[in-house]
Amino acid sequence: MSFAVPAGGISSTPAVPAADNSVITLRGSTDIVVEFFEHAITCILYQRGIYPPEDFERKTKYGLALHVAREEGLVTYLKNVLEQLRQWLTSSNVQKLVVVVTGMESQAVLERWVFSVDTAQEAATNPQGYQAQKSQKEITSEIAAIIRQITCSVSFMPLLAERCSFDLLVYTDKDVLVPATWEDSDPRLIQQAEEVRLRSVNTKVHKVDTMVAYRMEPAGQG
Amino acid sequence: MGEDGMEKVSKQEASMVQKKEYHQALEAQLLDGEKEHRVLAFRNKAPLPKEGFQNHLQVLYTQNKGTAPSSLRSYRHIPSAPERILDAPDLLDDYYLNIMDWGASNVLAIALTQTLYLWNAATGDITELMSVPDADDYITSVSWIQDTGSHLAIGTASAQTQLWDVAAQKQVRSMNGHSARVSALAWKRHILSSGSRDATIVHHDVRVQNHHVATLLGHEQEASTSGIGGRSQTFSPRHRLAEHQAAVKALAWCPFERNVLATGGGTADRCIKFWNGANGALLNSIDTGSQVCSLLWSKHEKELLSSHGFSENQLCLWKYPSMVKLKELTGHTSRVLHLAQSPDGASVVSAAPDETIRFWNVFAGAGGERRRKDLLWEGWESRSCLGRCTSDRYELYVPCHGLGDASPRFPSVRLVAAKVSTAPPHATECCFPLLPPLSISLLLPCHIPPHTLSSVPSEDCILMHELPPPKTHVV
Repeated sequence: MSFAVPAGGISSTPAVPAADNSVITLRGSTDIVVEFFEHAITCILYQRGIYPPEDFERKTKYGLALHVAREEGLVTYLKNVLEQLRQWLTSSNVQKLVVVVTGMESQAVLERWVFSVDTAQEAATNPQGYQAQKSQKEITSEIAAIIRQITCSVSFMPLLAERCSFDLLVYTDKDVLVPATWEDSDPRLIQQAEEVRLRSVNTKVHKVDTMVAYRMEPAGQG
Repeated sequence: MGEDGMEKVSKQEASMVQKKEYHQALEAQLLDGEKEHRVLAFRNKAPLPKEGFQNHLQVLYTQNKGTAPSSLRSYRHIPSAPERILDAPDLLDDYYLNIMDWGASNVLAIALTQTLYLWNAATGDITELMSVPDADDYITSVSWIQDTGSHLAIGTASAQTQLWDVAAQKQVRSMNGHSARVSALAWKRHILSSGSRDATIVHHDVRVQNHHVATLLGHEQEASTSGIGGRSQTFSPRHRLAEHQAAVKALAWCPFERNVLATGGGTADRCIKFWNGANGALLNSIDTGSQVCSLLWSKHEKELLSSHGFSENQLCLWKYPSMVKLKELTGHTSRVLHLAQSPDGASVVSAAPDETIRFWNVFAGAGGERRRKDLLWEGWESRSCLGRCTSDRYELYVPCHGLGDASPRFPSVRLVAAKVSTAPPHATECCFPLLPPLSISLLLPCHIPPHTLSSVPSEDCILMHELPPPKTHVV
């Protein structure tokens, strides 16, 4: 599916200098957003200490040293979810992607990382023809800024003292086609959460706003 | 008819549109601007983290914990071990004696039965000042003169009050007036008050031949004195503070709050009580759980140190007025009868019949050089000297390495001269604090190179403290 990218992807052909405005289509933007989601999710999993450091490996991306998942089960899970997400993004059905961190002992939702996706109206109505212009460099720097903010979140968010699990929730439109491997879920909101708005990235096709909500007191004491 | 029907239909349509709009508006309000959505999750969940895995950020958070403002309670460190222990053989185990005092000259005087020893805190030298000649006689009280520490008053079991010049190691005079042992002594300028087992307190003016100026009656047993003021020369007590259930030896006037007196009771009482000295009202009373032998106020902080007997033989540091116990200092093996404070207020010495005297750094870091409250004036005397004036001292500093922004707080400046009040207390009453610093600079012209300062006529007591090394001196 995304292998046929050249037509829709960022046309970073040698003829066009890197700094120049690149033409972005819905397909290309979807690739950027999905890749961003993958790195943002692994960054959260690593930085918040949900999985041990040995489950990750270092990689340079967006001009940053990032940690990507290495543990097999985790890689497979992410691949499955992101592949479905890519399809929904292509059909402009995604409203939000949410990373939910749950304490395993307390069974309480401790953190909720929300990526709200706003698809440009023209791109949704005319998925083939719509083209936007934005330089790749600019998008990369916007993504890098968000990843940095996730990394910095350790400084203000409470310690996840217990063993935690995570889940990915996708908010879609009502009329979306749902494969059998997916099920409806509770939104798993946090009552009386502290909320911190992070930066956003805009490809002119998709605008992704980032926000994190977390419980202030550790579970069981509040 | 047909027109009517058409109208009806369009009306219906209009109301449908309105309803739809209303629904949308309602939805938008209720759902907080969110669109209709499904929340979907992948059935096969992500693998759980390994069993027994503990968040590696734990280290980070526990290290930060110390700086969290909620748990922060900054307080200076009080060492719980004594800084120094000296042997004190033959120290009498008598609750009613006052045989230790630390004078303004930084010399500790302690009487061990018959002999009086002086321990110089600056050098560590021990001098034997005197001994009482009689075999059954012993020293019952000692007290340094205020301000200078040049003279020492000694009370004996033979009811004598002696005055000694310490520098010359000579007895200046001997004063009578009691019929039993003199167990307590206190100075107020030139007035020495002595309390005795004959239940009287006598005021002596040590300057005049007829030294006996007043007698206070009213006690039934041995009297204890503590800094009795010159104004209380009434012949009968102004107030009778009768709340204690046992002998009261520990007495201390509060140095920072007018009229507050702290008293500590003996074995049967065990209480520290606070009184308003002006009207005799009891302000506060706390049960300490053991005999209170001695009380001492801090010179810098609002704190009180008490020493106790059985069973802990400890020293307790209290915050005043909350009387929260800040620290307990243990080490003595018998009741801590005597306490004395160093002239700078940093150390405290305690003496006990276990034949040791122990030095504790209880108040170190409280007040002191770090924040001298009594600094009255500080500034450049001329282009080359820096002067500062405190309530009892004028100091002149010469920079070692040129001028710069040197000040006494910085090590690049050396103290070269200081004026201290060395005249007898009665002569300096209103002399020093009123002396403007500028008049001293006239007396000590700054163009005189500092190494010749010693040759300046020093009639008004300019003292040479330290010479700056000539090679580093730049003026």
